[in-house]
Amino acid sequence: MKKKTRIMFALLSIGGVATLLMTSYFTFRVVSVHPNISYYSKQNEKDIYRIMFISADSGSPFWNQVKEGVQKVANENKVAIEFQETFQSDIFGYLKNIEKAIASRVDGIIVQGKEDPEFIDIVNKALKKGIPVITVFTDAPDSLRKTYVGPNHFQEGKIIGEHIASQLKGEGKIGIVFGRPPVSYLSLRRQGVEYALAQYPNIKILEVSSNQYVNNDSLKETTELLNEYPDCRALLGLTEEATSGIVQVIKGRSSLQNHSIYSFDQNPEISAFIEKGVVSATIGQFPEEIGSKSTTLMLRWLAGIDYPLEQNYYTKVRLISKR
Amino acid sequence: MKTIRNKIIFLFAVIWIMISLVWCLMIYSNQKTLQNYNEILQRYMLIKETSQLCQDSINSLNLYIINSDEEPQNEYLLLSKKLEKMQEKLNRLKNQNNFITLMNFDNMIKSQLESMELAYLFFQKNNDTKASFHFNEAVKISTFISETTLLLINGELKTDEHFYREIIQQSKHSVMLGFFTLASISITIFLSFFKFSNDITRPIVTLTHAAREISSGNFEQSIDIQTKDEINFLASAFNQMRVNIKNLIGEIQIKAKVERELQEHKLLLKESELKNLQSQINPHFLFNTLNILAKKAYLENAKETSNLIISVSDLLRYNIKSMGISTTIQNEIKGLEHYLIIQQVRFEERVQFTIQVDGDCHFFKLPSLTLQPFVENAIIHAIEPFAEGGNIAIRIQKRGLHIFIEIADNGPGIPFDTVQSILKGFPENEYKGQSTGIGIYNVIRRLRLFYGENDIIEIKSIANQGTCIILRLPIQKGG
Repeated sequence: MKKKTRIMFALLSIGGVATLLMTSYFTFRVVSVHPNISYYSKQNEKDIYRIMFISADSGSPFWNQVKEGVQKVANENKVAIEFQETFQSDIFGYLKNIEKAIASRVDGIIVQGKEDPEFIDIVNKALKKGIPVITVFTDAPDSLRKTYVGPNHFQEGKIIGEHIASQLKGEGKIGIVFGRPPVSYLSLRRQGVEYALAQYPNIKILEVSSNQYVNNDSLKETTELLNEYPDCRALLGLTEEATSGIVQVIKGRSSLQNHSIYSFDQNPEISAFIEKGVVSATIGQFPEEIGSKSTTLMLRWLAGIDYPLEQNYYTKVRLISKR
Repeated sequence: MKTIRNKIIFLFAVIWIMISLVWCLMIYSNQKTLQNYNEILQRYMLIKETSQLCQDSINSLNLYIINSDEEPQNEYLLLSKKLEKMQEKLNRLKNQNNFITLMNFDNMIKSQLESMELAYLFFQKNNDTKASFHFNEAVKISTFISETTLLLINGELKTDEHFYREIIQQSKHSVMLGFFTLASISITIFLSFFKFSNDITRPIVTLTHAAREISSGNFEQSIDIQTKDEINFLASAFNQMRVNIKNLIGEIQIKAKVERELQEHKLLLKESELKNLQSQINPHFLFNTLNILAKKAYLENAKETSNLIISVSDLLRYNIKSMGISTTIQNEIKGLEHYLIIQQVRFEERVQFTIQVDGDCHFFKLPSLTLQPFVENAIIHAIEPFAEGGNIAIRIQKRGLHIFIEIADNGPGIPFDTVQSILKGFPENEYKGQSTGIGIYNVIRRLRLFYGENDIIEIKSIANQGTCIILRLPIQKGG
């Protein structure tokens, strides 16, 4: 009886100590943790430039790299950069983002140019409110944008054109697929190709009788082209979409080995095609350079160092082919 | 002092403190959480209110443009004033993540205010085209503002996600704290009550046990209680009582013993007095007769006989007179010499007596007839049976705080058993002296009572060599 009581007592004591420990632990947790809403400590944030970066191709690897370049420069210069992205099809949202940026009175806007009259209107409105606009990758030369930063699309066309000419050894047919309504930068590319191939009279440029395909269907366009010219063995996609359409159509019709495919731009899909040898060559840009260059220029303009800016700042391009 | 009352008060104080501490803790954490929630809500409300003000101001402007009434005009003016004030408040919401959005928001409001102002002014100047252009601009901006409001609120959620999670975690911890506190308090209270009740009941049980022991007559068990409360006081009082009772009983027993011994002493006295009385008439007659006999013998020229008769007479007188009173060594020796003269006549050359008394012992007091029984005993056992006779030496000397009286003979000695029985005292075996009628045992008893000491006699006896009886009488008691 006595022993039992003693054991009970000991057990209870151990339990008491354990619960006391737990109690003090939780007391500590409750008392020591002070969750607080975070407040901004710096008061002179008015000095920081706010730059809005607006692109119309959310989630694409190309634009992500551009953003990286922008962010890098922004971090180095302690500039607040905001990214506003819409999907390619959402022209309305894209324009609205620019309007918003104007309403927010940002210090500068970096935007992918469009040749839309509405876009030009909005850019001009921004200029009227004293907000500088820089277009990147694609231009809107008719607007009052401060400058254009990006590849020279005509130059791109020329390079690939010369490459194709050397590959075709001076004679043959080259089919061009737009894959998109022929906006100005695509036309520039085409002109570049044309300019390069002008020296080779034996090379014939083939195209679908254009105005017919103002939609985004590269598959249809390629099929049409090949139907029209079944002996066309070389194909050039002016955009990524065009290239992937070409590859799919040729896969469906005959062997890929019989065709050589050329492309513009670079994305993981095209890189894989190059690696497999499906696509012979493509023109690659340096998106990070575009981002950093445009931001640097914007900052220099805001600081009044470069005033006025040149009309265009071209970034480097390169030919990528399988070694 | 740790009284039981204090213990109870202490226990309740501890419980009270624990409970109130926990209560404070709970209230504190609740209050903190509530404050946090309030802050969050206020932020949301501020954003929402601002957005609402933009909407309302544009609505009132619209009404004004349609109706050109006084009322919507005033309302518009009021709302735009309010909006301007609200802008300042927005600054408070700034944090690392939302400050750009917030600046955008702020600027959008400014843009809207500007556009509205322009629309208002152009309308008043009746320039409807421009008024409607700016009004449309303001409406557009107003939609941006609503969108940015959502963005801001979304940003709030994202920025403060950590904060919300912490609050949730903390409230979970609070619940756990509550449970564990309940458990620990329960156990603590249980344990302390257990200990407390034990502390009170255990001494009481011990005390009860002790009381039972005492009531059954066992006073030996000491009561041992270690507590420091009233029970301890009770126990020590009880213990004291036990010791006192024990001591009293001991005293009573000693007293009873003394009483008994006194009774015996009285009986001895009675006995000798009786004997005294028996011989009361005879002595005078005897003394007279002995005196006549002594004179007669003297007249008849028997001087020796005359002296002998005088000795007998003196011895008798001394024996009878001094029965039951104390005397000095000098008187005792005088009485003993009369006896020895008679014995000398009886045994003639067979016996040699030597008496040696130290000078400073003459007036030491002792009961009368102390020496004579021992000498008589020695004569009977050591001289009488042997034709060649023997020596008897009596030596009295003072050593330290005692007077030593030695009566030595060179007889056959006393057997060991007899010595023991003499020392222990068995009156039935006693040999009674011829002259006085008093036995050795009687003498020893009287000495012990007279001096109040037990260790008073020593008997050294060696077979065929002799016996020496040593009496050790303490000076301070007797003298």
